[in-house]
Amino acid sequence: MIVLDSAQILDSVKRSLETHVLPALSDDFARVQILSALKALAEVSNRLEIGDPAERSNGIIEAGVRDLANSIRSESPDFATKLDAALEVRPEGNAPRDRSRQLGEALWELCSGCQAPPADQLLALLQAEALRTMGEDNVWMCPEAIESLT
Amino acid sequence: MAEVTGNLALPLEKALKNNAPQLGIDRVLSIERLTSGLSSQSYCVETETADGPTRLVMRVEPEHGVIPPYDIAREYRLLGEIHEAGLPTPGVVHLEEDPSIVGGRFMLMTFVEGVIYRNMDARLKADPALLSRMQEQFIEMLARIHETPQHVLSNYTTGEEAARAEVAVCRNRLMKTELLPSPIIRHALDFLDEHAPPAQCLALLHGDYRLPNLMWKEDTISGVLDWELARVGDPLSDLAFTQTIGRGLCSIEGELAARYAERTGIEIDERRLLYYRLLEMVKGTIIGLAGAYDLAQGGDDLRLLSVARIAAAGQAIMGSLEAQLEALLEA
Repeated sequence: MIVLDSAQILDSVKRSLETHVLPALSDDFARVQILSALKALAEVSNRLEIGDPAERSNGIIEAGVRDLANSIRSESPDFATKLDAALEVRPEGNAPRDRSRQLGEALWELCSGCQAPPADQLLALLQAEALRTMGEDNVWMCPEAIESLT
Repeated sequence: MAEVTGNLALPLEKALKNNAPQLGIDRVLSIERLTSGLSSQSYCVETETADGPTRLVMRVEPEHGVIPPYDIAREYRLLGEIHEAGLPTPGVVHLEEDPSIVGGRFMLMTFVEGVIYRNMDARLKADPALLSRMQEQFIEMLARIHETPQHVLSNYTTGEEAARAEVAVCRNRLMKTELLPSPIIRHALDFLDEHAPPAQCLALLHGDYRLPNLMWKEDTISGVLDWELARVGDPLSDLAFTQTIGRGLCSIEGELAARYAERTGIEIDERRLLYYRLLEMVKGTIIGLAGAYDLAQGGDDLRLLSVARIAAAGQAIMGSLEAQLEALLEA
C-alpha cells in the first residue's frame, strides 16, 4: 500500500478500533487493552512526526556533557578528559537506544560513588534529563488502565 | 506474562484428576480470567465434584513479568502457613509443579467470597462512617499480619540487614529489567544501601497492603490477597507503602498511624518511615518500569505502558525524599 504513508495507516487503524471494535466489546479487560493500544498508536504517530525521543535525549545529554567538560577543564582536567572519552566511544549498534545505553552506562560509571563536584554536576545533568523525558511520556498514559489496577 | 489460552478445561481436568485426586474433581466446567492482577495471573475455575459444584482460584506463575524472580511454591507454602495461623487468606489446596498444563506452575486456592473496594469507590466517598470502620479494620488486619509467625520467608537479625536485603532485591530486579540506564533509581539505591536503619522489631510484611488486595464481606475483611511481595522486615515498611505506592483512602498516616502505634506498641519513627517511603517508591518504580521490559520480552498486557509511565513519575519524588532524609540524618 505504497500510496499511504505510515501516519495515514496508523490513523486509519486508530479510527477502526475506535469506531468498530471498542463499541462492540463488553469485556472490561479487552476494552482497557484497546484503549491502551490507542494511546500507544498516538505515541507512534508522534514519533513519526517529531522523531525518536531517544535520539533527542542523546543529543541533549551529549551537548550538556560537552558544556560541562569545557566548563571544568581548568579546575578538573582529568574529569573533563574522562567526559570527552565517554562521548567519543560509539556503541556497536546504530540504533538510538544503543547509544543511550552505552552513553548512559559510561556516564553513570563516572558519577557513581564519586563525591567530587563535577561528578555531582554530571549526576544532576543525567537526572534532569531523566525527569524531562519522563514528562514527555504522558502521551501514552491511559487512565482506564490505571483505574483497573488501583 | 503466562497466559491461559484456548480451551484448557480438559487438560486441567485431566491433570487435577491425576495429580490432585484428593480434590475429587470430576469436571472442570470453566476457566475465567480475573482481570486485576499485573503479575501472577489469577483465574476463577468452576468445577464439579461428587459433593456438587465448587469454585477455586488458580494463580499461575508467569514465565516473565514485572516482579521477578517468581516462586509460586514459596507463596503456596507461606499462604498455607499463615492461613493455619488464622489470617483470613485463601486456603491453598494444590500446587502444580508441571508448567506445561497451563503455561506455568500454578496453585489452586479456595475462592474467598466478598467484594473489593477500590480507592475511587463511590460507596466509600459517600459514607464516611463506613470508611472509618474500614480504616479501623485495615489497621487491625495489618497489626495482625505483623504479629503472625512464619517459617517460609528469609529471616534477618537486624533492621539494617533486612533493609539492605530488600535494596539488594530491588537492585537485582533493576539489573534484570532496566532497558536504559536509570540514574535517579541507581543513585537512590546507593543512598538506601548507605543509610539502612535499625528496626524496633522485625515482622512478616505483606509488601502490597492496599484496598484492592482486600476482600470484604459485610464490612469485615474476609480475605487478604496477593502475597507475592511478602517478606520479613521493619513493620514501618508496610505503613510507608500505604503512604506512597499504595496511597489511597486507607493510607496509614496521622491519626491512623497513631492508632496503629497504640495497637502494636511500634513507635512511628519519622526517620525510618521516611527511609521506607523512599524504598517503597524505588521498589514500586522498578516494578512499574519492568512493565516496559515485559512488553519488550513478549508480554501482551498493554496496561503495562501506563504503569511504566506512572512508575517513571515516581522518580520525580525520589530526589525530594532523599533530601528530606538527608536533612533528618544531619539534624
